[in-house]
Amino acid sequence: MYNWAGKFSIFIIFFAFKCLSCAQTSEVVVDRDTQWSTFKDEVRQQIRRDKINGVSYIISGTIAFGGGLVGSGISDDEIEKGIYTVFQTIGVASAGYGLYVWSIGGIERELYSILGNAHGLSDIEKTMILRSYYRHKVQKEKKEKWIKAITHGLIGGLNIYSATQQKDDSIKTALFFVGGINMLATITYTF
Amino acid sequence: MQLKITIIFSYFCIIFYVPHAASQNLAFSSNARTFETQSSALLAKSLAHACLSIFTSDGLPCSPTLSYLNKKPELRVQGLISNGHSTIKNVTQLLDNNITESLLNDIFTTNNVIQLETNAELSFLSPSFNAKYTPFNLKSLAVIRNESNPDVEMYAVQESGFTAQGSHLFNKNLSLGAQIRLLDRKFIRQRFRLVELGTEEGKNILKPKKQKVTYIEPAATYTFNTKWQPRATIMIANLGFYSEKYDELETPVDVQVGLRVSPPIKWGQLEMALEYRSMNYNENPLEKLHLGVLYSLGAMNLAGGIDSFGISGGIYYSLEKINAGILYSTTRLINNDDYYTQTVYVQLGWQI
Repeated sequence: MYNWAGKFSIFIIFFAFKCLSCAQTSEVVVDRDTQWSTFKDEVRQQIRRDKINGVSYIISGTIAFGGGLVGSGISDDEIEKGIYTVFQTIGVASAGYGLYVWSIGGIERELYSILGNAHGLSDIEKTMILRSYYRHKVQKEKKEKWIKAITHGLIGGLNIYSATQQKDDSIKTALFFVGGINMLATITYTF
Repeated sequence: MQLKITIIFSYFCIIFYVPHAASQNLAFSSNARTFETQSSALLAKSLAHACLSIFTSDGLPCSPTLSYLNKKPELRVQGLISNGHSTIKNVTQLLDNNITESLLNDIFTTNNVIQLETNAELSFLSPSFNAKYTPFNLKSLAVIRNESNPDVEMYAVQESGFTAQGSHLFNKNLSLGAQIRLLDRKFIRQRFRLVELGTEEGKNILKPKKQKVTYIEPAATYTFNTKWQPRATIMIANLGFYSEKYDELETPVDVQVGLRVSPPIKWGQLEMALEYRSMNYNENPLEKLHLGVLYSLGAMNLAGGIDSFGISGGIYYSLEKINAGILYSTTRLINNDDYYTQTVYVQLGWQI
């Protein structure tokens, strides 16, 4: 049972934490010196970038879906047909992702929308809210870093232990590899 | 505009194909994108291996100095397979030295060209360090000529090993790095007549040979801060140590140079690269040139490449956890007889 626990828990823990890396990549910087006026301008530029990125994903997704349909119909080889089916799936997901990026975007756009509609607040008060958000973000990232360091350390340990119990050489090496990478991730998150 | 593109394309065809056509009578067919001692992912093959200065997102970059272009750390599992996959079992049986008459009949009497490449890898990518474990990498090409007295030239190579890459970016322009490859290889590389396999001396023709190799490969990349973002990379490949050296599978030290430009366009990113590198260590200097083009838009990467071995075009999609790609390559343009290869590769990966 211990050997099997090692093999499956790595996947469970990875999937449980996968959304920690799902955040949108935005070029808007919120720091301790952020001003509402400069933040507004940066977010408007980000909205333009998000539109181009979003439409790019929609176009490429449509091509993937269409190409996948055609390819799957033409191809005789089962493995090729399988890949074209995967293209169709990625195509639909890509179009959805593009629509999300275009219309919703990241948390900075949300903040801009919330503060922009808060007509009772002055620019100074909006600036104070942005700086408070920055302090909250720093605290949250510190906690996330420690959680990730501990999680990767446990996964690394579990995989290395499973590797020592494994008889098959290829699986043993793969488990040592995954264990080693997770230990490296632990060191990265710690320092 | 169309006339200009036709003239430029014809020019490159002449550069790549005329010297090869002159030597084709002396050589058996090759595969356009599979080589005995080269291991590459789908996008690198699509680019005709003009990838030293182009960041390819489907695996470890060709040059360790491009690691800084990885946006975030990720761990992924990936597999690639080509047509000819029905021969996997036969080729691995051959490399395990488990030779029977029915195996030889299956391999050498069904088709005149047999080709195969398949591999699986587990890789870790980050902005400063990359690592890859390849438990299985199998490549094979066999060409059988002359029905009355079959003449066979073949290679079959099975490798497993580790690759690690590290680099550091100085002043946002210069990146210095190195790659270490540890490989465990068993191979057969022979030319023989089929009738020789029935003789006493011929029994050892298909005996696989083993080799352990450690390569240490330094590289440097410089990116210029101009509109087209030209990037130049130099890498010294195949510096290393061998457990045993064999004349039939030599990997001499190879100085590889790659140049890339990226003209600004509104939608997506376009990159064009020219590379000077050897793929099978038998080419003349002009045959070592490779030209590749990569267009990226959203989740899509469309790549094409041309070199003296053939022409290739591929498409690769990557979205968060899943990626998939397909590549078509051919030697048909330069190989005017029946011994040409047309290869389809498919690649599937999952980020874990």
